[in-house]
This record gives sequence, C-alpha cells and structure tokens, in this order.
Amino acid sequence: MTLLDGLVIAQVAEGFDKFINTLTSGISLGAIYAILALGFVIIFKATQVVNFAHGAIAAFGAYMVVYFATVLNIPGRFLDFLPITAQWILSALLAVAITAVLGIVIERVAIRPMIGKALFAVAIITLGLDLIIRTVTNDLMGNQSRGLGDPWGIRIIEFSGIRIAATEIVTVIVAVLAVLLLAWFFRTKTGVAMRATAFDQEAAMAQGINVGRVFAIAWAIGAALAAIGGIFASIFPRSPGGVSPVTAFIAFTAFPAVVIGGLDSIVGAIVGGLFVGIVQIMSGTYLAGVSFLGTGFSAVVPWLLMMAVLLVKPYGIFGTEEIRRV
Amino acid sequence: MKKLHILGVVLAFALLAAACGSSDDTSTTGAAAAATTTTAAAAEETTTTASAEAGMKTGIGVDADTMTIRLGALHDLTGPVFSPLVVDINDAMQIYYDDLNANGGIDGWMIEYIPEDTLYDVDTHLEKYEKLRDNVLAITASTGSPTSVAALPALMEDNMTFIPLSWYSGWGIPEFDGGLALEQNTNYCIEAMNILEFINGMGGTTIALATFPGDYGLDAAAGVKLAAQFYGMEIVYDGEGLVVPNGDNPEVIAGIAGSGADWVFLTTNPTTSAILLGGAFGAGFTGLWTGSVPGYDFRLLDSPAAPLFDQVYYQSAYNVPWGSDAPGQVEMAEILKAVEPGKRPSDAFIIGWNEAKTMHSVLATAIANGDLTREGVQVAVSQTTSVDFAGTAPNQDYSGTPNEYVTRQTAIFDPDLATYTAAGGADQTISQDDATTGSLLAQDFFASEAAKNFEFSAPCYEL
Amino acid sequence: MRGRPLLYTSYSDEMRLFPTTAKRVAVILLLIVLILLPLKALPGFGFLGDSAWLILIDRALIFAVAALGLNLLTGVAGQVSLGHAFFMAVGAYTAVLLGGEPGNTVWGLELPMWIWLPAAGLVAALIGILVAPTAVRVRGLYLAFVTLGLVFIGLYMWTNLGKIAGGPTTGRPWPPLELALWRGQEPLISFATDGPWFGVELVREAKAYFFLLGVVIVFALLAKNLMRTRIGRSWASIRDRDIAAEVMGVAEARGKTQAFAISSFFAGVAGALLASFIGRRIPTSWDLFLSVVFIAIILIGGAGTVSGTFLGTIFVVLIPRVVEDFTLSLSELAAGDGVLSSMANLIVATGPEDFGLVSTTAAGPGLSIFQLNVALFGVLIIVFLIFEPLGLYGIWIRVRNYWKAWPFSY
Repeated sequence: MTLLDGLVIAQVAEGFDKFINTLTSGISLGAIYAILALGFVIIFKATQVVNFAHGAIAAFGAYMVVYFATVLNIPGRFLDFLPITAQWILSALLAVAITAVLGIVIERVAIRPMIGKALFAVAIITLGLDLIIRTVTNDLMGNQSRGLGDPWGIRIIEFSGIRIAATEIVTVIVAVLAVLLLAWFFRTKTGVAMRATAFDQEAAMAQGINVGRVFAIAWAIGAALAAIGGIFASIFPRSPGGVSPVTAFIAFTAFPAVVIGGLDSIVGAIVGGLFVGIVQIMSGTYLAGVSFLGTGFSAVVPWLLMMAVLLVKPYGIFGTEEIRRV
Repeated sequence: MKKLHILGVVLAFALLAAACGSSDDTSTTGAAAAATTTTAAAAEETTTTASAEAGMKTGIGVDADTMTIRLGALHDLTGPVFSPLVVDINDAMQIYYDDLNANGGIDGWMIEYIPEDTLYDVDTHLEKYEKLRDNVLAITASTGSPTSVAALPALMEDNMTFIPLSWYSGWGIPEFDGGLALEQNTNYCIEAMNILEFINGMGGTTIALATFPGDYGLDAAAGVKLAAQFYGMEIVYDGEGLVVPNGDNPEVIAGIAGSGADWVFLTTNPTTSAILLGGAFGAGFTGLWTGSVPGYDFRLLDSPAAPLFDQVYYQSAYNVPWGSDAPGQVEMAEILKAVEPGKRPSDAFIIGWNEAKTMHSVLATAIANGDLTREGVQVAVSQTTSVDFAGTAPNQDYSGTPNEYVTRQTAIFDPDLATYTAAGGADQTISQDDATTGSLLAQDFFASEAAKNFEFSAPCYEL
Repeated sequence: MRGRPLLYTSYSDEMRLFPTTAKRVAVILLLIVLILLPLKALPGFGFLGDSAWLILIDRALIFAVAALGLNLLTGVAGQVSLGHAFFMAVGAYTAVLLGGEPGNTVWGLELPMWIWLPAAGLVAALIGILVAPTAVRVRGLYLAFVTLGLVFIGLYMWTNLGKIAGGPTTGRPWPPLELALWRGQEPLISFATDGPWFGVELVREAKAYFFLLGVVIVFALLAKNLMRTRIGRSWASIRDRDIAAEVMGVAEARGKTQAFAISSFFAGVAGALLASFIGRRIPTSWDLFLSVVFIAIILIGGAGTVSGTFLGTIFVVLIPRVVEDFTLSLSELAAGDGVLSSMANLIVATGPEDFGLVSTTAAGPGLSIFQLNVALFGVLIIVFLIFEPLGLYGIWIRVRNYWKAWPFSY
C-alpha cells in the first residue's frame, strides 16, 4: 500500500463518512416531514379538508412544550422524583394532548359548518386559521426564539467518523412508534370506522357510524401529529434556538412531500416525507459549491420535484385517481 | 335576515368610527393645515410663531403653544429578525424621554416620543415613515440598514435628521447621507478590523466568513477582508452575502464545517447565529466563533445552543454590558429600576439610552441657538463636538472630517453560562444587584492597528 | 319598457353592461363621487382626500386590478390559484428590467412607461401560458399546491436574481409613474410628483389616483366584457361541470390556458403598478400572504362578480386602517371613566404592565395592532366563508331584495 493509495482511501473514507452523515441527517429530517405529512393525510382522508394551518398547529404544539416544560414546569414540579428526561417527555405529551384538543376545537368551529360546501372554500378557511393561530402563537412566544428545554440538548453520538445527534435518533424512534401506533389504531373499532368514513361518508353514516365523532378524532390525531413534528423541528439540530416565528413555515416544505406521495395515501406520506427530507439535505450539502444556484436552493428542490412528479402522475405516486362523473 | 341588518349597522358604525377617528388625527399635525405637499421647501414650513420663548423659530414637529417637540422612531418591534433587541432599545428610549420630561424637559420643552413598528420590512418602514414625516422634527431611531437606506431619499427630501439603528459605514460619510444621519459608535467595517486583531492576538490564522446579504453583511465582510490582508490571515471560506436570515442554510454550514477554519466570523442575527453554530457543531466543526454585534443576543443563553455560545463564541460590543460600573450605566440602571423593577436585564438598553442622549444633546444646542426647525437641528449637529456617554461607550463626535470623527473603539466579551445561571438566568430582574447578561470582559475598548491605519473617507461597501 | 326595467325585449338589451336606468344612474353618480374624492370636494368625506387616505385608496385601486384577474381565474373559471403573487412579481420585475435605471449591481433599460407597463402584463401572461399545461393536467386541490409551489419557486428566484431584483434585503427602486415619449426625455405627464394640473394644486397621490382610476375602469370593463361573452361563458361551464362542458364542445385545456393567461396579464400589470407606486420592493415581499390577500378579497367580496371584487378590495385594504383608528380611539376611551371606559380598558393595554387583548405599545402583552390586523383578516375569511359564501356582494343582493320587496319582504 503506497502513500497515494492511503490518501485515496482516506479521501474515499471521508467521502463515505460525509455521505453517511448526510444520509442520516436526511432521514431524520425526512422523519419530521413524514410525521407532518401523516397528520395532514389523516385529516384529508377522513374529512376531505386540505389543512393549510398544519404548520401553525405544529408551531403551537412546540410552543406548548416551551410553556409546560420551561415556564410552568408541569407535571415536572409534582413528579420531581422522576428523571429529567421522563419529566420532559410528560410535559411534551401534555403539550401534544392540548394541541389535539385545539384540533377538535378547529374542527367543531370552522370545519363542521362547512360540511357539504366546496372543498376549495374549506381549504381557504384553513388558510385563515393559519393566519390566526400563527399570529397568536407568535405573540405568546414574544416574537423570539424560545428553547424547548429538551433533555438531549446538543449531545452528539460519534462512532468511526459518523456523527448523529441524539435528538435525531429520538426523532426516528418516535416516528416509527407513531407509524406503528397508527397501524394498530386503524385496526381498532374507531380506526375501522375512520377508514370507512374516508372511503365513503354516506355509506358509513348509513352503517350507523357517527361521522361527526370520526371527524373530531381525525382532527385530534392530525393535530397531535403536527405537534410532534413541530417539536422535533424546534430542537437541535433543526433549530438550535428553539421554536420561533419561522417554525410554522416548515410545514410548507412538508406539503410537497404530501403531494408527491399522494394527498390521500398514508404510505405516500411516509415515503414522500423521507424522500423529500433526504433530497433536501443531500442537495444542500452536495450542491453547496455550485455558485449559480445561489442561496436557498435546497428549500426549493422539494417544490421542483413536486411539479415534476405531478406532470407524470397528477395524483401523486400513491394517490388514488379521482373518478369523475358528469 | 335580522342578523344581516345588525351586521350592516355595525359595519356602518365602524366606518363612521373610522371617519371620526381619522379626522381627529389629521387635525393634530404640527404643520399649518396648508401643508398638503411634502416638498422640503424650507420657506413654506418655517412658521415663526409667537411662543413663550420669544424669538424661538419653530417648524414641523414642534408645537410652540404646548412647548412640545415630537420625535418619531421606526423600530422593528415584532419582526422576525432583530425584534427582541429592538424592543429593549425602544423601552430604554421611552423611559429616557419620560424621565427627561419629568425633570423639566429641555429648558421647559417636552418631548413627545412616537414609536412605530416596522417589522424590519422595507415596505412597512416606508409606510410608517409616511405617517411620521409631516408630524415630527426628527427621527430618533430608524432600525435596520436596508430599511434606513430605502428611506434615505425621503429623509433627504424632508431634511430630516435621524439616528440610524444600524452601523453601516455609510452613515458616517456626509456624501452618502447628506449629513442627516447621526451615526452611533463605530461601524461594521471598523468593528470587523478590531475583531480580526483580537483573533490574531488569540493565534487564529484562518477565517471562515458568513454574512447576510445587503449593506449590513457586506459592509462587515469588506472590513474582514481588509483586516485579513493587514494581519496576514487567510479567508478559507468566503460566504459573504450567502446566509439566508432564519433559514436552514445547509450550504453555508457545509462550507464552514468543511473549511477547517480556526475562527468563523458571522454577520447575522441571533437566531441564524444559533442555527449556524449548531449546524456546524453537528457536522463536527471545532473552531471558534465571533461576529458583528447584532449577531448575538444574551437571550441565546436561554436556548439549547447556550453551551455552544458559552464555549466557543466571543461577543463584540459597542457599549458596556448590563452590570458594568460605568457612570452612565449606573445612572441608567437606577432610572430603569425605578420605572420597571421587574424587567429583564439586557445589553441593548444602553444603545437606546445613548441614542436618546445624542438627540437630547443636539436638541439642547438647537434650543440654545433659538432654532427648532429641521435646518436648525442640522446646524446644531454641526456644532456638536462631543456627546458624553459617561463611560458606557466612546464619546461621539460629529465635527470635522469623517476620518477625524469616526469612533474606532469596540470591546470584546465572552458569554459565560455559569455566571448567567448563577445570577438567576432568565428569571433575573434589573432590581437585582448582581443582574447580569453573562458577558465577561475579554478585551476592554480598543482600536486595532488596522482600524487606526484605515483612511475613512468613503463607505467600506459601496451600495 | 317604462316602469318595467327587468323586461328585456332584445338579447342585446339584456346583455348590456348597464341594462337598467337605475344602474346607469348609479354608475354616473359613482363616477362623479370618484372624481371629486381626491379634490376633497365630497361633503362630509373630505378627509378622504388627505395623503394618508389617498395612499390607501391608490393601493386599493391597484389591488382591484389584480383581484379582477384572480376573480376571472378562480371565480369565473373555477381554477384555484394561490400563485397570484408570483405573477404579480413577474410583471413587476419585467417592468423594472425594462424601465428601471441601471446600476453597477442591477440591470435596467430605462424605457418609458408605455413600453414597460403593457410588457409587464404580456410577459406575465406568457408565463401563465407556460404554467398552464401543468395546471390543466392536475385538478382540484392539487392545482392549489402547484400554484403554491410557484410562489416558493418565485421567492427563490427573486432572492437570487440580484441583477433584476436587487439585493435580497434591499430590493431596488422602481421607475416612477410618469408618461414620457422616450428614455431621458422630460415626462409629458407625471403621476409621481406634486404640482398643479389645470391650475388645481395636487399631491402626487392624487395624480396617481386619477391614473389608476383610469386603469381600473379599463380593466373592469375588460373583465365584465370577458364574463358576458363566449370566453366567459365557457369558463363558467368549466367551473360548474367540466366534463359536461367538454362533452358539449368547450375545449377545456384551451379555456383553462386562456384563463391563466388573461388573469396573469391582470396580475402582471397590477404588480408593476404596485411596485412603481410604492417605489421599492424587496424580493421576499411577493409571498404567500400576498396571494392569500387576493383570495380573501375574492371570497369576501363575492366570487365571480366584478362588483363583488370591488367591494372586497375596499373592505380588505381599508380594514387595517379602521382597526388601527378604532384601537386608538378605544385606548383614549380607556383613559377616561365610566363603564364603557373600563370595558375598553379590558380590551386595550396602554402600557407594558397593563392587561389587554390588544396593545397599543407593541411591546405589551397583547397583540400589536399589526398582529391584530393579520388575525382579524383570518377571522374575516372564516366568518365570511361560513356565514356568507356569496360575500359582500351576496349581502348587498339580500339587502337590495329586501328593500325591493318591501313591505312584503318575508
């Protein structure tokens, strides 16, 4: 083995390390997008509503963690015999629950009255909701970044040249857990009812399913997933400063993921989310030297991909084609 | 149907309310009602009114009957870029003027302080300036480099003296701003030179540069490059103008991490600094960091990125931090504590305080001259040789050539998480004697060799 | 026929723009009011001629042009588009490229307004035609996402095309509204400087007002005509039942492409006017919120009608001012005594330590006035969509019918 061979191997190894690091970064970002996309798709499948307020709900959920974990310290202050990690997880669960309640409130107040009206109109209502929720959440935040107080902080796990943040591992674990939980949920009675409603609302009603309750549960689950996605989007390494007024916009980058996968496909949401996350990080890292692309190209890549996919498959990769009748 | 009628009545009411409200507003403009045009023709606007001060010339923004001077301010109070810092600056300014009024004003003249929220958005900045331009004598603060530059044509048209809340080097050059800008402290360009001397002293030889686009980022970048040449340092990553405010910036992070530089120089805002530090740390970067003053806010010590700022960041400063024993800081602290004891300490108060002090000094000269018109304010500025900041910052000078009067001194601090947490962290109030923002002195006010050698006759970065 | 205004005896009578005498009289009165407005000659409403109000009204006129375009696309042709901000940006940047002053960091050809204003519309229309095939291929809410993507792709382009758009945080100045024959020559008429017209002293906002009023009238007539002719009817059929329309012989793809092209033309012209009027735009100002403003205008005003568009524009552009004045008067009320005053005190926070939902000092605990406006905007969108899907125009129709049938209004 000559010195030259050694150098080449070192460079390849360095390139390999960089590739693995980029890939793991992409998978963790993809996991966040997948969680956000899942929530979005569940709401869409069950209630036929495109929820443009998803990002605002995600930011609200993240802020709730700030509030419960750092400002009020509930339930930590009553349970201080538990380790800090457990206390924070409980605060986070509480925040997710509150956000689920917000989802139900939104459904009751803004979506229920629009049943039977044009889908476009309801989508615009969610745009209005986005404005309201985002403004109020920003105001609660004080218009600045607020740390979530998570126990993993900036800890990085390193082995043989590969660096993964502890929070990235947690993100992927939680995403997998969420998918498994959902898979189990859809086999329960309520879950089957939701699937039936998604398939055909009228037939489900005819079978005695309480469609109103299904709607509420769908929004609760969707909002809860948004909150989880928002939490992971507000901690290291995505946002070391914490949740801030720009956190809500991360969901806008999740929309291409949803559309690529297909608006009404759960599998599509997961696949689309992972795909977009990986592509975004890869293009950010490997296209960094290409100067004519300027800045911010990696944020626009998902949208370009979405356009390309829609040209070939107008309903997304896994979406169901609409059957149109005169 | 009834609901609609009520709705219609309510709407009509609202319109009426608006009509009544607005007619009140428009009748309180200081200028004579004839001034519907906004040209700066001095002859039309200078109305010599009989007032308590016999012979005092007054103009727009001055009400001789009530002896009130109106000052406007354009602040980023709720925007995403610099708002927490500016909120503190605004509060300090408001309290300064309230205190001034409570103590008899300037020779009996009261100050009416009118802040407007610009969200660091050029359109909103211009819109809010339209609201103020016919109503105020001067602008006591204008947040932001790009926003103030965008408003410059209108400011020059109105002959409006203003204090930019921006340290772009152009504000010190009369050819650029028509002599209207009362620049504060030094500028980004010279600050960068001082910082590079500090880095040089710490043994750094390679620099990674990452800045916002626009006059803020590129002015500092120009200073960095000049100083790098002066001290023989190498810029291994040139990211000037590439940083997206509050964005993920994977390209810049990859560039910094891959460069292997000893030091990183940032010209960003606090949120983006955190993103870049965190991202590079995640990629294994082990260099040290520093940057222009607006890129750090002590509140970063509350965030998850706190350990990073504690260990690898050095903070530049134009003024002393909270808790210093400079006479001006002590005086300000006393007054702030009396008004709002529950406030959090901040390093930004002194900025607003000193800006208000500058305006106070200029107005006092104008009153002594007997001329409270915009022209009179300009004359007062040219007569101002030194504004005394009482030890909180180098005294400000506005007379002579730019090369003579520009301030060249800055200081370097080291954020310390332990000190900050020991004093109570985010729960501190200014009434505590040991209240601190965690900034420990690393190098007291100094002017670098590069700065002293620098001939300041034009902005470092030409727009 | 006299006394029977709704009895049409010929097709052309029915299809006239202003078929009844009442409508014709109303339009003439409206024109008189509009012309007197900036001259402060309206009794009781003279304040509307002040600079501060005129600026708002001028903005409303520009927004009306863009809204008319979106109305044609979304209200008449039924194509959901969140991309209006993108087309406005295209028009604005075409205008500044053709008409702006070149500098060492930006390009510009300094051509006169009679070139850059129509060109802004035409280039935007061309881009609309380019986008149309993708839009035709997808349907329903997927189209909303495609147009949303256009906005984000646009934002990326404007922040990086420094030679056209100027710096990402500074933007660049736009050519002023003035009519000259060729570059470098003195303008024949200028709408951007103060000065007298026919002896009447006018502020620049008043001059711009008259120009914009002319533009709006032209575009409104264009829109109304489009709606009542073959193209408009084909759009309406596509909106209502596109498969049936295709079966009947309406070429769906061609209709949608036309709709995109024409609405983009409106948007491009409006974008150029907006940028020129304000004087300077930063690249990130052409964002989703701007698109949402126009969607809100259409929906609040009443989709598919020109009068609805105008009602919506006035409402949306003037609301922030009304809210601001209302909040300020509330805070003055709160400073006094009495029941009303304590209620006002609850709502408004006047100082940092005071409690209130809304705060007049932006640093207080409540929403700042700007935030209140944004949130209120969202509330209005929701309220109108839930309770009055036909918008303000629908409310007007109901009120009118009530009084028409009075006293038999049940």
